[in-house]
Amino acid sequence: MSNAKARIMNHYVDDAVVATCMDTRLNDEIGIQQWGEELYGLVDRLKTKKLVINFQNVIFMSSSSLRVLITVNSRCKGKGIKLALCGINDNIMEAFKITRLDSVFKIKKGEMEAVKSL
Amino acid sequence: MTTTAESPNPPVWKIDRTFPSVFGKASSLIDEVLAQMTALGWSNRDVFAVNMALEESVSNAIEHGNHGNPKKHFRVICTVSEKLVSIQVRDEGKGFRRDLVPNPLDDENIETPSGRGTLLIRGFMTRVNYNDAGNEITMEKEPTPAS
Repeated sequence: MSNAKARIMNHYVDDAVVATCMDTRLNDEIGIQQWGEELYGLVDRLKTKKLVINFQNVIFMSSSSLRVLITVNSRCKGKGIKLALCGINDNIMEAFKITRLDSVFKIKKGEMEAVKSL
Repeated sequence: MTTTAESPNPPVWKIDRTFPSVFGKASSLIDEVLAQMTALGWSNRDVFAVNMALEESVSNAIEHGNHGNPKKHFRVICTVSEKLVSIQVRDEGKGFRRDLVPNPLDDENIETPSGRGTLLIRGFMTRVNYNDAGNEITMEKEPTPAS
């Protein structure tokens, strides 16, 4: 992951903000830290109560990136924001299942499905 | 020259390198291992599994074993054949007792941010063992049967 580019791109779908992860691999510590800071900043300034994180571009995630997601989830709960994840490929989904995080997060296949689930 | 469909001793590719405890230093080694697996016909699913095991074990060696001290090193030995990937990662730390690490699968820990690297390694690899000191992990992956 390079250091200069944005890690997430945000857009509205109905009354939800969708944050699309722009990296294909979430595995290097510095990049994950930057990705986390962008997500935390987004949660802090979010005007709506619905957030979807879209992983359609991501082919690899390490446990450090799962750690960031758990913190994002916690911050969302603290602000009363509903959170859903989407676009997770089968390999990464296996990591969610192994860690039982599939029971912690609301996970949907597609973006619209995720928005409507909130 | 005659060839058999299944050789009893398939060729084994091996890599053995030592790195300072700095994140990213082993990324080229990981890329080489994954490229070898792909060249030998391993499935995308199994390549992902070994990728996860390498990332997590190297990260543990740097962060928990050597406490991020760049003067300390970790060693990675990896062999790849058509039937087996074997990985050994050793750091200079004092090791750890696995029974003292909180289980992230327990309900009270499920939303605790840390502690999932070892769990992912166990989940994705076929066999995982530690030396007695706890500063060396050995992992093996066999091809996942097609479903």
